[in-house]
Amino acid sequence: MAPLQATKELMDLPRYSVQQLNEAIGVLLERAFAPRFLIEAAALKPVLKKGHLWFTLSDGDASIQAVAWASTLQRLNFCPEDGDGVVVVAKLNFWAARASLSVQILDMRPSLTTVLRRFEAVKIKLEAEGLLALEKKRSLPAYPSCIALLTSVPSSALADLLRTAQQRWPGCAIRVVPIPVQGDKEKEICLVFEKLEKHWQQLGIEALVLARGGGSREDLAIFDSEAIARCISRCPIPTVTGIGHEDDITVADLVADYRAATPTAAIVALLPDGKQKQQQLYQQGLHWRQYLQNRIQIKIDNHHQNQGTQQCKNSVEKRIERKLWQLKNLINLRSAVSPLRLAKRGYCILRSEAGKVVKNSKNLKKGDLISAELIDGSLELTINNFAKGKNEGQL
Amino acid sequence: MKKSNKQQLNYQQAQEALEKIISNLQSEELPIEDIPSLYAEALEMEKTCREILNQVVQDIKKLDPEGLILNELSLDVS
Repeated sequence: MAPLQATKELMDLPRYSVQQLNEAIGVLLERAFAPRFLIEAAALKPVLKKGHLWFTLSDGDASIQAVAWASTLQRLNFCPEDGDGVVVVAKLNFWAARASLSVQILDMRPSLTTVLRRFEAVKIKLEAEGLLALEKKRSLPAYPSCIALLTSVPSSALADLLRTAQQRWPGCAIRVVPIPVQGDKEKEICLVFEKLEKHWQQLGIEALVLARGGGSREDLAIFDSEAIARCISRCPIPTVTGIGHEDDITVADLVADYRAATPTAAIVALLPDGKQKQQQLYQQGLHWRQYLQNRIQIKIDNHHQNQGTQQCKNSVEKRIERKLWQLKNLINLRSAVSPLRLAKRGYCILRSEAGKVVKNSKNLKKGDLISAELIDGSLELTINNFAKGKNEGQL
Repeated sequence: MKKSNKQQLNYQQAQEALEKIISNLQSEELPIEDIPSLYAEALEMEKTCREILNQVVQDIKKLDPEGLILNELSLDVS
């Protein structure tokens, strides 16, 4: 190769200082490269330095340095551990002084494989402690008067929950407790559980629903939290989960007393169907009224010695009221003619020495002994005289 | 059942009370004289159940997650 100064071609090449070169690279990258892009890779050897998180993004064949500045890190919902799969939104960060290139993290979340690995790890741990055991599951209240809904507010999940509750059992009071349902927010959720643990009796809450609408499995990762699972397990009232879509299962679902596939299904599981109960009450009413009617009818028939059948009225209710009225009359009649009742009114029964009831003066004479039965005992009487009364012949 | 007691009953209590009364009403050993009063009780319990079932307005309140204080919930939930 010819000496540099001797070649005219070389004289035509652009000439840079190192600083100029680096700055030119920086400008080129800035102009030519996408301002934001997505990468799915493994996060290797994460290290915190002065609040900033440094790590290597790698897909096995290639790697690049990445950094999440402290300010970004604070609002991220997730901090990777070594080897975690991550999905990041990033931009290129070029440091001109050293021509150093790195990926600057704008947003980061665990990849599906990471989420599922964590789910498995927590599940195995809690399973070993017996927290997922079927015998730990409590039955749900049959007719809850008050339930708590733990979900985000406002949200379509809450709208679904309230609509379904209104359709099924409006008599149940609803207490809505807003919670974050995504990201690294387990502390907030655990705090709500701790508060409920203390105040559920005072608030009259009989069961709670932990719900979140659909999303990706990664979005549901918060419900794989070990701390939240322990809160659910410790919760003094039965818990129903309705998280994500039908196929999504989180650790919270496994610990809960009942796992419903969706928020709507959670309410269906917890609240009875009011319309069905109305129907049952109606059927039950028909049945016992019919039974009662038959029984009273038999009694009345016996009493009147088949004096003829009663004319049917239209409604069961009216018929039974009528029978009861008849029954009451029967009872009153029996009471009205009872000797005890007459005795209370001052009448008494006279009996001869032979014990026969004395109805008139026939067969009686002066000196005969008779007894008079009163309300509280009987009198022994001797007949001194007999005067014919004015009632003679009237009876 | 006294009225003050009736007002405190939830559906489960009212339903259980009704079933007990019905069971008594259907007992062959029940004296015929006791039927009218039991019948009245059954009607009362049935009415309580029906009132709960017919309730239209749901009692919805929001709990403040910080203090779990009862607050009225905004109707805008969607």
